[in-house]
Amino acid sequence: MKKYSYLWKNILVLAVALLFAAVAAHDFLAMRTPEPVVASKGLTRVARLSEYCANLKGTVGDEAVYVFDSGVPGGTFLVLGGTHPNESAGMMAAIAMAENIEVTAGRVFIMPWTNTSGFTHTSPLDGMVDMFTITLKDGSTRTFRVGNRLTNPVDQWPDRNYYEGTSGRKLVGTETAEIRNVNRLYPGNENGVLTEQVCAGIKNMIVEENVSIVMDMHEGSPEFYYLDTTMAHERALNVASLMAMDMGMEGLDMKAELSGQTSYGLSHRSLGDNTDALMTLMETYNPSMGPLHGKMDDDLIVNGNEPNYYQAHLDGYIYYRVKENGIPLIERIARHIVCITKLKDAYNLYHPEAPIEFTCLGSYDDMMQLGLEGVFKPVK
Amino acid sequence: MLFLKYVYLAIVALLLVLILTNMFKKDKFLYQLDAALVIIPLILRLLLIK
Repeated sequence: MKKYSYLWKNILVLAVALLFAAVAAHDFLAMRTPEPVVASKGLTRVARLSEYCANLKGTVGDEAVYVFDSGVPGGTFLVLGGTHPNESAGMMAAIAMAENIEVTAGRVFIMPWTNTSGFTHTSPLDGMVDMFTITLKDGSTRTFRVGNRLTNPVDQWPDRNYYEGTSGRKLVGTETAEIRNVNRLYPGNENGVLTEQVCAGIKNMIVEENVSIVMDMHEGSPEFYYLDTTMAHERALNVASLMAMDMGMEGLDMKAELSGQTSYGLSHRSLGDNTDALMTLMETYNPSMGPLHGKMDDDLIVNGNEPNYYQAHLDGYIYYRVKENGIPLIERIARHIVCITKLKDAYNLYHPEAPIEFTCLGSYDDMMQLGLEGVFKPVK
Repeated sequence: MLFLKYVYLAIVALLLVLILTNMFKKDKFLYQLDAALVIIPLILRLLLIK
């Protein structure tokens, strides 16, 4: 009789555990649904990365590429957002571009989720949020994910103790997890691990589509030295420098830096070395990525206001000029889009034989006036 | 390297079975609760959800 009673207790406890597992599973699985994109009228097609790397077919790495083809001969601009899914402005700027761009010469390819797998999980024990929501002008809301800078171990595991990539980059010791970092494995390997296949797909796309210029959008923690900086491969340095001067003339801080010769596996170095495209990468300030930030919530991500970092800046510990009221997401998105627009202008000066012409959301001030609620379209 | 993933999942499955077996042998509520807490992440991992 006693055995019978505790058997029922066991079943009850097991049922409760299964219920908790189901609720947790629902939350984790929700991160596998990509954000809707209300693409602009100029959208020609949504390509898949498996068109350029067949091994990606049927995997989480078979990513969406939004293609805007003007039909007018010219160059091709590739925009990479979401290489590191915890750097929100990159993905958001890519989606904002896909929703508002009008291409009149050449083509523009936009990848909002360059590491799709990274968007499906967060950093364990970091107190991260997995999603945040913004309210649009019409009162509707849009929700965006905050992922992890690395591929989800569910999709690629285990990390090797030693790895030498196709770029010559060696990953050992504390760096072994970087085998799941898209921006360490270029130019990739079609038969390698998932992240290498994604890199190979992007490299093949650049070669097969004859991409002229690439911008890889990133964000960095306030301690990072290269904020508001565009890293450029040596072939892209003149274009990046012209863009930086152009931005400076509008009062927007921007530096152009030469890509390190030994930055093996990073997009600006290894895609520049292995393709004909002009490779650039830009960083903006993101206080939610640094160790000094307080509570992680929608406010920190959207408004970018972290008093700890402002104080650290006043005390001389942070090189970057942190503003008292923070640097909101709209400002970082606007910086990325303006940077891309001005890169396009600079590219056109050097390459009039293959022009790229597009407009997207106007000037920096226009975007700041629109705000997040005006930059993104309601989902119907 | 892919085979290691399946070895790992087999270990997770074995661990899950052992914990469930042990759980059904215990009559104290705290032992059962202890096992239930361990079961949740193991199920999520076995199903490749987390």
